[in-house]
Amino acid sequence: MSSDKTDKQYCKCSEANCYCDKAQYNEVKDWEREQLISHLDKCPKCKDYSERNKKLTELFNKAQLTTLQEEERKELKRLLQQNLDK
Amino acid sequence: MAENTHQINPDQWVDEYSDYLFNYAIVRVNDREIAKDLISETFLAGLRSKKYFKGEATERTWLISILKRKIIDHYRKINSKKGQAEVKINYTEEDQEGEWLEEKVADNFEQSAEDNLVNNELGAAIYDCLDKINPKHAQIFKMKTIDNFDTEVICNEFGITPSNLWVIIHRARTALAECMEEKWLK
Repeated sequence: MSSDKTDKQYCKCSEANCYCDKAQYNEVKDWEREQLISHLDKCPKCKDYSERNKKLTELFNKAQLTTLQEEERKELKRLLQQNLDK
Repeated sequence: MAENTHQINPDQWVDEYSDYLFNYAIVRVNDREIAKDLISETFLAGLRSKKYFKGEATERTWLISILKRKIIDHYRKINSKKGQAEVKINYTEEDQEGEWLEEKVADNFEQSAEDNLVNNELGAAIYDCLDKINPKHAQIFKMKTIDNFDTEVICNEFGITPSNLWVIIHRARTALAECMEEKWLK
């Protein structure tokens, strides 16, 4: 079927977006990157998503967010609980 | 008369606000241990004064106002120690008069204070948006994006497949981009 051939050469938008997301975490495989690039050449909507996604990653990097570790969180909970019980 | 709808619920403070408060503090004090201590002190102060919570602001805003005071107290302590050190330096070498360490530090502080302000505003915007999305998606997103956990570790923790994880990450990123669009992505 011709559609099978098309699918192999040109991935779906949902797949392209997934590859784009993986690329933000450097977890995209080479063949996925190739499909993504090929898809973005022809799909303006996904190209927009990709550009916005990259900006989002830049913002997260800029914000330098950090979270408490699970043990630190438990310690805080213990402290609160001890003082709640007083 | 305005209705005071915000409730206080200390049992949920760590899960709901600790990361937000921690980022707020760490940007200002630039030290993980001090930031953690400030959060502990903030929660304890919150517990002690919870009877004064009127519900006019959100719990988070109220806790931030306590944290701000704790940060100011922290800097007051540092400055009083630094002040004592300066006097000693100033009086040991007469020819060094005017070469104030404090002035040099202040210049650097001005620079970083501006960066910190932007980073803090950005951090607050990200946390505000994370609060609005599916809590499980937010948690997975934080583990992947902020804590840099491996995909496999997160999948094991939540009992999901890598495909599920990427769908969740995609939904979270799309929701966050929409939420941050107006102010940060244009």
